[in-house]
Amino acid sequence: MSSVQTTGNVEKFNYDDGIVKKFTLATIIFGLVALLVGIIIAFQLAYYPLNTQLPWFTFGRLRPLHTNAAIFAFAGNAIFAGMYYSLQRLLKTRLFSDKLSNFHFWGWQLIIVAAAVTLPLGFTQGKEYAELEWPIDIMIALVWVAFGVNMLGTIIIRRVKHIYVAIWFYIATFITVAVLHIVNSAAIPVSMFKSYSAYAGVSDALVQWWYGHNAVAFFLTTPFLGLMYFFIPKSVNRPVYSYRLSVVHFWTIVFLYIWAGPHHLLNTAVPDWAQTTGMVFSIMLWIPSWGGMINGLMTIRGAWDKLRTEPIVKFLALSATFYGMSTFEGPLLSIKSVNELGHYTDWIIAHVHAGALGWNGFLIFGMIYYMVPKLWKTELYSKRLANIHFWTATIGILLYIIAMYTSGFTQGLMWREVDAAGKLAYPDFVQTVVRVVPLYWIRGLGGVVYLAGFIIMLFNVVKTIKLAPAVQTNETEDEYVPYVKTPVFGNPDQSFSHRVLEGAPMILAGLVVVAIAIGSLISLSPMWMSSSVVEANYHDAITKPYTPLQLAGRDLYLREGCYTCHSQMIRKTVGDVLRFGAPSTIEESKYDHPFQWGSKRIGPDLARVGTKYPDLWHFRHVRNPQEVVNGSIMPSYSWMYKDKIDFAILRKKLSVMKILGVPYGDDDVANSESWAREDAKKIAAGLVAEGAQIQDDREILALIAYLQRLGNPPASIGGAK
Amino acid sequence: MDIIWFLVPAALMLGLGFLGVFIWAAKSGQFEDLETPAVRMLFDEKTSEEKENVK
Amino acid sequence: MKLSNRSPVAVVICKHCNSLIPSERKGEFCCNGCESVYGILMNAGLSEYYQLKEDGVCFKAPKPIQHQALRFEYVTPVFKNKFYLEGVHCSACLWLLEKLPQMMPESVKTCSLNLNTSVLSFELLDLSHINQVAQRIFDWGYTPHLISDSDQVDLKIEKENRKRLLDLGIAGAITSNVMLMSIPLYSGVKGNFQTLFEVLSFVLAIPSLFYSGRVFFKNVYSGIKTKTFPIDGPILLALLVAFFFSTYSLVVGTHQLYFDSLTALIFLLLASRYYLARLRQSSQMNLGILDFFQSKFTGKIGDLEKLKIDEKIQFDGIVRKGEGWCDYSQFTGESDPVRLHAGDPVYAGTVFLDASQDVWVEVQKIGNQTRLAQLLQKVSEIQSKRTVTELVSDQWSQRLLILVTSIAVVSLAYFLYLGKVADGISRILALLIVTCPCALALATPLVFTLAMKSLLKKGLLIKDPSSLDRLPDVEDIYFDKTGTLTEGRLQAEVNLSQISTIDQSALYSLVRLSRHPASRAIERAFAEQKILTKVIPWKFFEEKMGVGLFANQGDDYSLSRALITKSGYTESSFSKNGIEICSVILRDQTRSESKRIIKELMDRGFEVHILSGDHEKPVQSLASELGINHYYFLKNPEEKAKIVQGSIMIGDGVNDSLALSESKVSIAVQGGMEAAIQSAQVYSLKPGISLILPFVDTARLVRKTLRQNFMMSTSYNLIGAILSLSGHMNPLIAAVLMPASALTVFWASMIRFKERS
Repeated sequence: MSSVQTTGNVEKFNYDDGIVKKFTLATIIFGLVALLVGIIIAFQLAYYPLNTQLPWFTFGRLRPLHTNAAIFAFAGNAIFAGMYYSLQRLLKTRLFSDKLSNFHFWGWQLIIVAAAVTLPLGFTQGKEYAELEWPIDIMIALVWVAFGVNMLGTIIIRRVKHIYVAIWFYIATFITVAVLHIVNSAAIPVSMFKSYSAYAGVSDALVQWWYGHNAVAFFLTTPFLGLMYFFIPKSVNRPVYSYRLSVVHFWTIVFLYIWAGPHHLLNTAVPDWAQTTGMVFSIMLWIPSWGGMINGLMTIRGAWDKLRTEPIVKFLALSATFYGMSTFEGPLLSIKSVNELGHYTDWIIAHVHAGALGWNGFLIFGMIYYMVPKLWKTELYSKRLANIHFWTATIGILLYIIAMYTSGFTQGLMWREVDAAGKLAYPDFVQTVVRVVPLYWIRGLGGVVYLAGFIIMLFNVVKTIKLAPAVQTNETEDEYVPYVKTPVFGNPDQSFSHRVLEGAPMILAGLVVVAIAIGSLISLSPMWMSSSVVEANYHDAITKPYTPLQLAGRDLYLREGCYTCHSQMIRKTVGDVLRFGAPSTIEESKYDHPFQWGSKRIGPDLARVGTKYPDLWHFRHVRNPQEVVNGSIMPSYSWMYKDKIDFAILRKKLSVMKILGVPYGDDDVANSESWAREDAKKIAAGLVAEGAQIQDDREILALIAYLQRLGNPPASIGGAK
Repeated sequence: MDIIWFLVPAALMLGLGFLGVFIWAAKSGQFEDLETPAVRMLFDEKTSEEKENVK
Repeated sequence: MKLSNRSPVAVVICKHCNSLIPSERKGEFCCNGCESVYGILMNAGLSEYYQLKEDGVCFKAPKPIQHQALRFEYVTPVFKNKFYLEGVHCSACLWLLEKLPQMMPESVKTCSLNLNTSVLSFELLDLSHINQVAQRIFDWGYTPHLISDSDQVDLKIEKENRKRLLDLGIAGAITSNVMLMSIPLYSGVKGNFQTLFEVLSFVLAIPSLFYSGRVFFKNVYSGIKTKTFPIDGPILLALLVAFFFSTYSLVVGTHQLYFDSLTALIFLLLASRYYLARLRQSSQMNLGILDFFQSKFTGKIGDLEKLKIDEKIQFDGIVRKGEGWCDYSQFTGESDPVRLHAGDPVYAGTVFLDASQDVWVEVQKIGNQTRLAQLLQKVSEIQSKRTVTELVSDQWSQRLLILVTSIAVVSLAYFLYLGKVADGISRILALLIVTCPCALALATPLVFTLAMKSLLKKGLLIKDPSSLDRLPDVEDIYFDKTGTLTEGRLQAEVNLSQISTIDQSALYSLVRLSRHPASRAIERAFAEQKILTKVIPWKFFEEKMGVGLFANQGDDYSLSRALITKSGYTESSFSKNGIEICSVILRDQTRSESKRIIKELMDRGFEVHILSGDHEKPVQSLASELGINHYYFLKNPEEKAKIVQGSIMIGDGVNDSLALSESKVSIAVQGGMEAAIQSAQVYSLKPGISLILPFVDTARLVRKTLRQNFMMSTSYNLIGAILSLSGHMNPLIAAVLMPASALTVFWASMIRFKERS
């Protein structure tokens, strides 16, 4: 902590700009990375050969890298930059601890680097936006706590009495994300970079989307709302349109966070009442969200000319507009009938990117253009370039979302279209794929244009920094007369413990987190003891747990990110049933740690693919999809034919699954290696008999075993012993 | 679906936790004046240049 | 309000306050006040103020600084204080004022400004520095008025608001969660999860009802104690029925729960009451600061102050030296000046008249301790404590309540008899909820608040709002004459050009040495008739109070005191050497607006009368001048009181206090403040009867609005009752519809008053 000089009642102190600079630069660098990866995967969908034959370069492995980079590396660093900048100034105090700030920064970047390394290598937990494996999860928790302590500490030692609304949003972000992360990441490790989710099937679905939606809400919305309430007023020099409204809408949101989540699971196997609740709740959320948007936009009233002249204001205003759009579209998509059309399609992608590129991206850009000159104590190199960036980025977004809306509606409509005889009008899934591939090119182009704008910004920022005065301090001076703290609970003359209660609220917040964390851990134990459905043992199970070989195959499915293109949840809709079979039940995925219901259908649903095709079909398909399905955009996975199955670890895997409540017997676990080898040999033999060339211990065999088991057909290979 | 036994009470606890913070905020006067803070935050710290000019 | 950066070459706007610079003034400022403040700020290194002003936000139009040399002398026994500041209008003001601790590090520890209320709260480091602080603030262009800690009303309001907000917040958090949990229940969840949600709803409903909802229990209890049927009666009944029935259903397993309706109702009711309370407070805010004399005060307790002529005295005290005349008319309504001797008390608010010698007064009470300030304080306290009593509309609410409750009870009995308990409960719950006279009960005070607010803006202090309620039922208006319809100030009627120049000088020289109202009236006549005379230095001069003025310079001159003569007029006789030269008729000038107002009132259907203690002739001539047919003269206070019973009385002064307290509606006009405030329901801060019209019109508007509210309310209730009893309305919908309907009633009321202003 740097020195505070006191003259009379005025305290002179410095803000830590260094940390903000660091985070800002990280934001730009990783934003670039996120966009680049995004463009790569966009074009991989348009032109499958771009997947190459490098295992770490396929769509399935890069897509999580893109989402993690965009959310945690780009948006994450941005919110830290913005939060640390605004927090200090709103509270008229320097950050609580420089040490924590640095730990936070370097820890976060380390996490990103770890992600960048592990994800392409296939180390994944197989859950969206929570793919990072358990050691990194722990790191996230630690760094997050450091961030929280740093922020709460700053709030406690603040000099301004009133806690501005933006800071309340930051607090809510910290607390909620902490809880979500801890709960959703609950897993039991198998090895250094492999673990199984503590939850399975529908439970996992609910937890995952409780996390997933709230990750959007409390990572991509609340901190940004806080930033909006800081940067918009500052950039137009007007107070928030209705401060009262912003306070009301904050508290409304945080009192109310139960049922965010199920709108990602509409029409699935989740019970109807849960779906309805999720739907109603999501629709209700529209009101406070638009309150926020209106508040943000109306703040510019009286200064509309700034919209014309200042690129910062342009970005911020448009970001609020995209926020409004997305928070209207979201509730719209939460209506069951609308969702029926949109789920699994590119409409969702359009929705996500309007929000990510428009709401988040633009706010970040506005913020960067605001902060960089101030941090480096200079002027922006070129306003004109910033304006060009704005228009370029806007065009980029428009290209992107128009392409994806078109694609999404096309997919949704084609998938469910039936002819006069009541049969599917497009019985081959690939027909719908081929139809939208041209739109993928346009989407890719949109991304390129957006990236171009980004590069313009990068150039502008670099030039700005270069033009900055040579002597840079990473501190900004300020002075303030602190308010006199009065304890809320208790008498100022009382003992130490009572004086400590001065900071009660923040400590309370911390205690809440701890309590919930502990509480969640405790509550998890019954889960592991297996709940309402009591299985006697493996052999009597209605739904059979995976055999060791199938489990190995499942883990390969996760590793390659197959779930990014394929779903495993047949909905109770006509289109789904006609195309894929009987609707999926909760029963069927009850041993799936993690669940793999999926959220996108770039390829067809696989819930009942088991025994639909012979083993040879899968053998040929995975090696060269285009050979088997004309027009397919799936990459080929040739290394799976050369790499060997890790049999040795199967025992560990099964024992972990056993702990998690899957009814394996002790001998099942003990014999897992030999059991798997046997099954593999059988499959290999069958393939060889059909003319294929394959050793009996290659990965593809495990994958085939798994795929053939999907849908739990009675006579699946590798089933009952 | 047994996860509901955890999710609902957990979310409730979270909500009630925030309620506790709300109570603290109300008691310590955070809601006294909901107009002036919006204006106060507009003032920037003086840059060193400006400070020089004043002197 | 943004100043253009590209301003024209000619500087037209004041650099400090942005108002137009008068054409005759040179320089960059509109007045000396602004110029000096600018200098002060620049020298103190606070030039940023002007930068902020330029691009900042303006809330009110700035005013030029009226620079007076003011001294501040507060005595403050506490460290924490509040100033109400005049002149706060923009964000730059906020910045500037919160710089106080930095600019006065030995005096001010912390300070914070509330832009909404223009109140600066600050903490002193040294109690004796308060005056320097006030001075500095004043130097910066803001006039501070101390709000002392004895203003308990303010603190109480703050505390109450906090409590209400807490209750509301808790109710809101609970309601939203219970509502969410009822969705699965409505969507058909069964089994253990159903139990989970039901139990959680129950658990959450408990603090909602028994903590946030305790205000309903309190109101019903106090209603029972005072033997009035409490408005919250049916509500509480509904809440309790809902709660206990739902609990019973939960335990027994019949799944008919109303926890969502219950919590929703509590939340919505608390929300509407909170909103209403805030609205009321904003109309009362201004009454808390009534220290008109603070800023001009120039002494402290124990000082010996010399009284200044023709100025309002700023303090209470005792005459220590000298003698003089004092005009008490502002205070008590006495038009005759009062002679002060050593040992006599002197009061803030009165005007000192006599210039013949210096009068020294020892200061005893200042600021809020003066009799005058105490009086005004009392008014504001009464207003804040006041509950709306005995309004006609209240009676209707009562009847409605009793009716509805009876219906509810009877229906319940009927359903119990039929064995359809659950159905019955649902219906009567809906009935009780939807027919709550809350709309009326809340809207009525709202209407009165809005009316009082708009009248306060115009200058009418309403002590008793029932006056607004009663007025439309009254036809007769009685006006007092002196000071109400007339100026209360004598006008001398004399044709000065008829008398010789020497005599003119003599008359002028006589009256200029006297502060008697009659003398001054004659002096004014000279000015009005534009007669310039020489001043005669008297060899001998004497003013005999009650007899007249006597002087000699060669000749004997005298001016007798005003007497009612045979003609019926009040005359003063001017004589030289015992022979009358002329007589001066002294009359009280009619106020300019009186005639117009009277006509308007008669057009509105009122019977206007004059009620005076004066002689017939002046009363009659006034009546005919104003076009009034009925007039009473030579009435004493008791007679007056008898006449005005059941009617509207408008008057002032000590003479009228009895009549004012006896009439049905009483309005006191500035002049006899102390007594009038005690006895009248309404007090006009402006002299004359110009504010009567707005009062009458507003009272009628109130009545109209109340009637409108009644109709709306009744129709809602009727429809709601029918739907409820026939089973088409469930309690949850009722809980939402009822406050919604109340809101429409509110808005309809507010629209009416908005259109007016």
